Amino acid sequence: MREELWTPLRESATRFVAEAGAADGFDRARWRRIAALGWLGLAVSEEQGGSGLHICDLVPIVESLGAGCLPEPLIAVAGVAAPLLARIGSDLLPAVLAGERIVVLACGEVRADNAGFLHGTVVAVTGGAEADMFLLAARRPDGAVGLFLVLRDAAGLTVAVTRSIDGRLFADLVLDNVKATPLHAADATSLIDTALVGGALLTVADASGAMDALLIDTIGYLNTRKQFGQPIGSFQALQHRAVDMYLALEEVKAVVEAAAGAEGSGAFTAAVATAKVVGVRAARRIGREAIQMHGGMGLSEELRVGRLFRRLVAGEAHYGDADAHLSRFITLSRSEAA
Amino acid sequence: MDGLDNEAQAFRHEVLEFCRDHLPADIRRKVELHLELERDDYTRWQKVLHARGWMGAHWPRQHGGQGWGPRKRWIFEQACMESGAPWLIPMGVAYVAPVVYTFGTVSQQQRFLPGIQSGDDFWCQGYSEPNAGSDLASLKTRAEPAGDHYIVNGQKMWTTYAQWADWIFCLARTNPGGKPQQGLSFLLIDMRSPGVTVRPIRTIDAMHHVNEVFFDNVRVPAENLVGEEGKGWDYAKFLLVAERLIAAETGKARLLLRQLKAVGHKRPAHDYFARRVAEAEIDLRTLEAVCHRLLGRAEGGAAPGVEANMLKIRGTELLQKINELMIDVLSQRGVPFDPLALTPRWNGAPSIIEDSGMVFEFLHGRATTIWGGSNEIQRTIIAKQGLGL
Repeated sequence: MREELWTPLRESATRFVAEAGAADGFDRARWRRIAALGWLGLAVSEEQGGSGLHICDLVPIVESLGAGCLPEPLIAVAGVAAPLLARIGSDLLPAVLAGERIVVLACGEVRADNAGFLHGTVVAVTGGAEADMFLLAARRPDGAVGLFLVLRDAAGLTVAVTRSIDGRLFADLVLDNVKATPLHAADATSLIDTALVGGALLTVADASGAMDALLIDTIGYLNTRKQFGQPIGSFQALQHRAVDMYLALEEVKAVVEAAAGAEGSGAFTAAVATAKVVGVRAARRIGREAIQMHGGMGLSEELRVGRLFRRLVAGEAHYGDADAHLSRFITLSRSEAA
Repeated sequence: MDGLDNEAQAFRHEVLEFCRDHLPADIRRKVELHLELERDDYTRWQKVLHARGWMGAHWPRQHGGQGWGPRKRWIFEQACMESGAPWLIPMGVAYVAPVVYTFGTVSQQQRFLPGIQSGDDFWCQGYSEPNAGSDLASLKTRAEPAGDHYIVNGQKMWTTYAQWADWIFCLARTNPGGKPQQGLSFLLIDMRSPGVTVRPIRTIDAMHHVNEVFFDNVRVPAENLVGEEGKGWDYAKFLLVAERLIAAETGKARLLLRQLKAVGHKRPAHDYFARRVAEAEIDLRTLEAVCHRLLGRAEGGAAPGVEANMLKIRGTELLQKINELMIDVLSQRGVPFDPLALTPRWNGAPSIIEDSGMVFEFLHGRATTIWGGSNEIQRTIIAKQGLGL
C-alpha cells in the first residue's frame, strides 16, 4: 500500500534531481520549487496546510536527493522542524511551508534564564547555515525543556557557518543573552525526541539513496573496466565484495521500510535506532568499497563516487551517530526485558 | 515483531500459543538445551502438527495442503522454532514433496505424499558426493536403465539423517556425456533396497547427523523416476529456488539470542559484550525486516531472484555470530563440553548440560555456512544472477 504512495513521490523527486543537475551549494530558487512541490508540508496535516502524510513518506524523496547529493536542508525543515511546528500549532507554519522562511531545530547546551533569555552553544546545526530562524531547545529554570524561537539576526546570537566534508554548510550557534520567544508552555522533551527520531530515519534514507547510486556506479564500472583482457567484474574476489555491498544495501532498505511502518507506534524509536546502526555500517562498507573498486578513478572528482562517499560520511552524525543509537537501542531493549 | 500486519500478527500468536500448549515438554526441553534428538522426537512433533493441519500447509489444496504463501509459512516455521520446537526436517515435507506434486505422476503422489505429511515416512536427500559439493553438477552416481528398473551405483555424502531414513531422493546420472547438468535424473530410492549401505560420518560436534550412503548395484523400479529422465537438474533447481526463501532461521536466532542474554546477564556488566549482543539483536531485526521485504515481494508475484541466496548467507552468518558470543561467555568457564551430557546417559553436574548444549550449537553452527550451497557459492550466484557480473 505504501509503495503505491511512494512510487509517484519517488518519480517526482527523481525528475527534480535530474533537472537540478550538479548542485553547487544551497539555492533559494530550488528551495521555492521544493516548496511548490508540496514537500515541505508533506508530513503536516491538511488542516494546517500540508498534505496530511507522515514523516516516513518523505523517504522516497530524500532518497532521491541523497542520490543527487542536493544540499537543500529538506530533512531539517520538512522532516523535523515543520512537523514540530505543526504539533505545537505555530503560526509560523504557512511561511515555512511556502518556502519563504527556513526554520530548523537546534539542540545543544542551552539554558533559558528567568527572564526567558537564552545562553549556551549548539554545535553543528543541520540546515543552520540557511535558516532564517531557529527552534531552540533550552533547559528552563524549572528543569523542563522549553522550545524557543530565535531570529537569526537576534542580538547576542553568533552564527558561525562552516563547510562540512560533503560541501554542505552547517552552523555553530553561540547564544549570549539572546531574546527568545517561548513557543510551548509544557515540557518539550518528548516532542523534540520524536522530531529527532524522524530526522534520523530520513538521514538513513538519504544515505540509502546515495548508496544505491554508488552500487549502480560500481557494478557499471566492474562490467566495463578491463584489465588482463577481461572486465574486472569477472574476478571472484571483486564479485563477492560487490555482493556484500548489495546485501548491505538491501538490509538498509529493509530496515528503513520496517521503521517507516513503525511510525506512530511505540516501536518507532527502536526501529529507527536499528536503521541508523545498520545504515552507518552499510555506508562505511559501500562507501569505501565503491572507491576501492573504482581504483584511482574513485579518487577523481570527475566521477560522482567521491561526492557520494563524502555525503555518506557527513550523514553519519546527523541526528545521532551509530554509537548513540546503539546505546539507545540497548536502553530500550533492557527496559522491554525488565 | 515489527512489520507484520494485524492478520499476520494474530497468526503468529496463534502458532506461539499452539506450541506453548501442544509441544511435548520433553521435546521442548531437549531442543532448548540443544540435546540429542531421536527420530521419534521429530516424528512425534510432526504428528502433532499434522493433527492441527499444519504439516505441509504450504502445499496446494489439491495435494492436501492449505495453499499457504511463503510469508505465512515463514511466520509459522519461525514461531515454532522460537518456541523450542524441533527443526522441521525439510527433506520430505519441503524438499521432495513439491517435486513430487509438481513433476510426479498421480500414482507417485498417492504413494508418497500421505506418508510425508503424516510423518510416517522419513526422507533424506542424496545430492552431495565426495567430489561433488559446490560443483554439484559433477556428481558421478550412475543409474543405468535396465528394462523396468535402474541399476544404481555410487556414493552420496553428508547425507543428513540417512541412518533413520526410509527413503532417499537422489540425483543420479542416467546419461553420461554432454554438459554436467544434462543427463541427471531425479530418483526415489527405498533405503531398505539391497545394496544400500549407510556409514556414519563423525563430526566435530560429536553427534551423528551426517552419513555416507553407498549404492552397490541397487535396483530401483523405473516407476520411481520423477518427471522425465535427464531433467533432474531442473527439478533440483526448482526445489532450491522454492525452498530457500524461508532459509533464514530467524526463529532459532531468537531462541539462541534469548539464551545468550539470559546467560550474559548473569555476568558482571561488560560494556563491550553488551554492545555486541545489542548488535546481534539489531542483526536479527534486520534479517526479519529483509525477510518481510523479500517474502512480500514473492507473494506479490515477483519472479524469484536471488532473495533465497541472500537469506541463506545472512541467516547463517547471524547464527554463527550469536554462537560466538556464547563462546565468549563460556570461555571464562573453560568452554565445558562433554558430548555425553547431551544424551540421557548423563549423570554428572546439570550445569554441564546447559554449557555443552551451547558449545554443541557453536560447533554444529560451523556447518551452516557450508551446507545447502556454501556461502561462497551463494555469493557467486548473486554476483552473476543478481548483479550481472
